Order: sequence, then C-alpha cells, then structure tokens
Amino acid sequence: MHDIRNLTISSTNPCLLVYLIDQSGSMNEKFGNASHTKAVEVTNAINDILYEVGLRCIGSGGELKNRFEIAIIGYGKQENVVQSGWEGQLSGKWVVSIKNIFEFPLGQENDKPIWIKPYSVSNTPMTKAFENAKRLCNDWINWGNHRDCHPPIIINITDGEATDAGSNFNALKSQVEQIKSLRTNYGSVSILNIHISTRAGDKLLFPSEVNNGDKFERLLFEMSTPLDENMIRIAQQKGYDIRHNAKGYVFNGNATDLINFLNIGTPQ
Amino acid sequence: MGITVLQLHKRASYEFKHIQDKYAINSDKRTFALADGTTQSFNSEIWAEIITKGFVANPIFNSNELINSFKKQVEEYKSAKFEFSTNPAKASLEKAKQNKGGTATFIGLQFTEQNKLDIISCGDTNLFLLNSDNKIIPFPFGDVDSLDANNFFINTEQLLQNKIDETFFKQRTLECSPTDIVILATDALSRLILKNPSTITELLRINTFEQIHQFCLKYWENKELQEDDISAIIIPLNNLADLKIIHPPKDFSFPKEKEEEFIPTSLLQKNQRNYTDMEMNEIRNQFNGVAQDFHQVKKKLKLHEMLLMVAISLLMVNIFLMYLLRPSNAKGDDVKSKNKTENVVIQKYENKIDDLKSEIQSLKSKITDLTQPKEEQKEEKVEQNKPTPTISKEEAKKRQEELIKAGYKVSADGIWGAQSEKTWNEYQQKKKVQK
Repeated sequence: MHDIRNLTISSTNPCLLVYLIDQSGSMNEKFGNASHTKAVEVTNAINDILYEVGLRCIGSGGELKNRFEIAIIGYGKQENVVQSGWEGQLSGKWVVSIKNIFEFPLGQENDKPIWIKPYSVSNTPMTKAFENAKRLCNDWINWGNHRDCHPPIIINITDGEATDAGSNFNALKSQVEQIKSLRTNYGSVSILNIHISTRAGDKLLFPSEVNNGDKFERLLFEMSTPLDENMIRIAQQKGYDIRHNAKGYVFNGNATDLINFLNIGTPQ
Repeated sequence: MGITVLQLHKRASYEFKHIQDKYAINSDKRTFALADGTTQSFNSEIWAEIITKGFVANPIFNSNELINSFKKQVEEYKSAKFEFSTNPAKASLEKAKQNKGGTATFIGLQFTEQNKLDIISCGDTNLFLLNSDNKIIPFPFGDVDSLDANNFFINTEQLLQNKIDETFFKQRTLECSPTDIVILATDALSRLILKNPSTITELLRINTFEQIHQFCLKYWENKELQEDDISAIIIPLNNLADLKIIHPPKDFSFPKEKEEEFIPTSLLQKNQRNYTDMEMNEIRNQFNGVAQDFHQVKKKLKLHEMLLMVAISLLMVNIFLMYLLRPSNAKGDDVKSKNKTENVVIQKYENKIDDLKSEIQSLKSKITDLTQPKEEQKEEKVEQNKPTPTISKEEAKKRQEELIKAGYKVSADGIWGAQSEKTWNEYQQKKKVQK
C-alpha cells in the first residue's frame, strides 16, 4: 500500500465522495431548536459542502479541476426506494464530476448555487442505500486509474432507524462490512455517520467509544470507520478535541458541526 | 558549480506558466526567498511572487516587521486585474475565493559576512544545509510528521485582519562554511528529502531540464513524491555569483488527461426515475406510435406469410405431379411386379390362342383332304367344332335382324353367343339349299 501522505487529490487522481441522505418522513421534524426541519438542515449542509468542494477545485484561471467526483444517494423519498439525489439537469446521474456540478446547478440562493432540495417522505431503506454505495464504490475503484486514487468516502446522514436492516441489523452490518473491505492502493473506503436527532443536548462528536444504551446510536458508531490522520488534523484545526482513535461519527451535532463534519470528511 | 534553480510544475497544471511556486534572488544582498502559493487560494502565485521579490529587495528577519512589510504588499496583490467567469456558479466561487485572499508559504535567507546564515520561515517550505561531512541540517522541519502538521500560511486577508502574528514564523541563524551547500525546497520535495536523504545527492547532480523531468517522473511514478509543483534552489556557498535556472522549455507541457465520465454499470439497471405527467404523456404517445407501427409491420408480415405459403404449396403440387408423371421405371417395385404378372398371364393366353388356331387349321386341312364329297356335312361338323367367332356388336345386330326377317325367333340385342352362331349357320345352309 502507498503512503497516503504522498497523494495529492488532483484531476489525474480524483477522489469519490458519496453522500447518503435520509429522505424519510421523520426528517420533516424540527432540527434541534431551529425553526426549520432536519431535511432542510441536511440539504443546506450538502449544498454548502458542494460549494466548499468547488472552492478547492477552482484554479487561478477560473477553470474547475475535476479533483472530486460526487454521488448523492437519497433514500426514503418513496417507499423502499433508493435513488440518485441529483436534480435538474443532473437528475438520474449517480456520480458527477465537480466540473459538471458547477455547470448544472439547480438554481441560486443568496448568490450561491444550490443542487438539491429537501425531501421527507417515506420509510428508511438505509441498507439498500449502503448496498448501492457499495456497488458504486466498487465500480469506481475498478474504473481507469482509480486504484491509484484516494479511497472513496461515504458520509451517511440520518435521523433514525433503518427499516430494512434485518434481524439484529445483520443485513445492514453485512453491507457495511463489505464496503469496508473495498480499497484502493492508498487504503480502504471510509464510512462516516452523522446521526441527527430532535433531542436537544447530548452532543457527541468524533467519539472513540459510546456508552449510551441507544442501540441504533451504537450501530451507527460501530459502522463508522476511524478518522484518518488528515481528518484528525482538519478536525483539530477546526477546534475539535479528538483522540487518536476517534471514529467518524457525530450524534446530535449542530449546524456548524454538520458542515465541519462534511469538511473533515472531504480530503484537502 | 554556481546557484542552481530547479523547477517543474505539477502534471495537473499542464504548463509551466501555471506553477504557483515563486522564488527571488538578490546576489548583491546574498539574499534568497522561496514561496509556495497554495492551490486553493485566489491568485496565490501572484501573492507568492510579490512577497519573495519584496523580501530579497528588503530582507527582514524580525517577524513583526516582516508581517508589516507583507501587509503593505497586500495592496499590490489586490490591484491585480481578474476577469470573473460568465458562469454564475463559477463566478460565485471566484468571488468567494477572492474574498478569502491569496495564501502562500514563505522562506527567506541571507548569508552574512561572518559565514552565518539568517533564516526566517512560515509554512512547510524547508531548508537543508549540507556540510562537507555530508551531514544534513534541516530547518524548520526535521521530519515528515512535523512538516505535515504545519498549519501556518501567510494569507492576505488574515494579514489585514491582524490574524497573523510572530508565532507563525520560525527563525534561526546557522553557522556555515564555504564548502557547505544550502538547498531550499517546497513541501513535496522537502518531504521526499526528509524521508530519503540520499535523494539530495541525486538532486545535486541535476544539470539539465531533462534530468529534473526524469527525476520527478521517477519519484511520482513510485508514489514517493507528491504530485505537486517542484522547486529547489541549490546554493553552494563557495559560488554565489553564478546562477543557472533550469525550467521547462517553452514548448513543454504535460498531456491533458482524457475526460471520461464514470458510469457505475452495476447501478444502471437500478436507475429509477419519477416522470412528470407531461413526460408520461409524451412517453405514452411515443409508445402508441410505436405500437401502431408495429401493428402495420405485423399486417405486412401476415400477407408475406400467406404469399409464402401459397408459393410453397404450388411448389409441392408441382413436385407431386412431377413424381406421378415420371417415366414408368420410376414407379415403385409393387407396380413393376404387378405389371410383370399381368404380362405373363396375357402372354400365356396369347400362346394358348395361337395353339388353338394352329390346331383348327390342321383339322381343317385334314377334313378337306379326307372327305371332299361330303363337304357340306364335313363343313357342318367343322362348323360345329369351330369356336364361336368374335364379331362386333353392329355385325351381330345386323345378322340378328336378318334372322328375324327370315322368321327366326331371336332378339336384336347385339349379343352373339354359340347359340346365335348355330342359328346363323342353319340359316346359311338353308339359303344354300334354296339356291
């Protein structure tokens, strides 16, 4: 395996980011003490992070370098349905290069482009979403020179229990384990989880262990991979006090944590 | 050997004009500066060039004074013209980037009269002092981990907001001798040297662009060198007068990568989409059109099928007739054997008839020879013995009518048997007698 510190994410060696977004009915509840819903908060965070990624890819001459390829996978917009989260002209596409993302935004809000809108409709087919992410990452790794690229990063944003996880969550765990076994020459695929809740307080950021009795909280924590060196460095730069074996898991983070988490999950 | 400047841009930049590492040398003041403009900041190469040129013109080794000097240079950086993209999404990025300002690392050094070297640095651009014992003294970072942990850069906006202070800078004065060599290197090359110090020897041997090109390609391909702009200033303390700059030639560029869209094949069949009513109507209309076309094609196909059947039937009848009308030897064995049996029977009867004919003939001649006077009796006998001659139906009718006229009780039915022959012979005898 090559040293990831020698890897620069570039248009010749891009990185795949996969965002799994819970679009189930419960996302219609209020986000913490805010006046807007969890679905709106997540959508804003995703639109912001796409913009941030764009900032990292634009060259001095105004050209966007394809350093990142991004997938948005929505689950729960229809019963048991997992589909591409891209809308407008990007609708139906699974993976879009950052160059095309900025060519085809859905519109503009506050002088900034947006790409997705909030949805909160049906149940929570999270296992199916991870299965899609697995196929996607596997195809991506085996495409062109992607074995010599930064391993894909999957960021799952959810507020609740999967409705298709099987007995003892075994179906979901199985998909996650299969994803963790996928790797490029620079390491294996990372899985990060943002667990948002209507509950106020009890914030948990990048823990190395969870003691809470909430079985789904524990499941999402166990599903998450440890933060790599780069992620730890960025998290520390953003003021988070994290231990070396911290995992990519956030419970009940606020809006800033959400965007910071997405930033930490996006390699520099 | 004099001062050598080695530079090669990263492959993703394609052309040397996009390199964001900038250097400046002032031979008179024995001053050198190297700055690495960060990829993600706005016009960082312009900022890197401004601060290096400013430093060698007026070398400052006091952190606070240097910060003030940099602050003054921000105005020059901001006056650089820039045309925003016509794509609103991209223009929005450019404006956001512009608001974040230009960012660069920096290292500056000056050789003093007393064989001393003053160094001031901010960021991960490193210095290596190689002495005559081949001992390497690195500054400010002595290992890869500390270099990677660096979080200090000189950013124009932070300067204006007084967010950059002396803690951002590292300073040192090194003792040196005339046989020493100083190497300034930007982060990618510094990382390689820190991990593998023997690469310094390789670096010192580089004398042409092709050599630096091959050096970078080798370590890039081996994944030992980060894909980044590569810059080094090699300064032999015994010769600060000569300067050799090794840059890519004007016509040199790295090939542009093919822009191929990644399509996850395993998800294609799972691609579901919701259609609007209008789209659904359009799909329905198109489907109906296709269905109509299909119906027409089906009709035509049926006609063709019928014509084909007729043609095949005619062909079969033709073949059947040809079979029936073929030469006899073409018939089956059964027919052949049947014909053969019939021919044998006919032959048998014909032979019998011939035998009987010849017997009658011989009897006739015997009677003629032996009993000439009793000719009539003999003739009668012969006649009696004669078999009934075969006559046509018309002839039979004619004779029967003649017999009826003569008073015989016969019917004119055309049937001529032995009785009819006997009656006819009697009538003939009577006629002879009457004569």
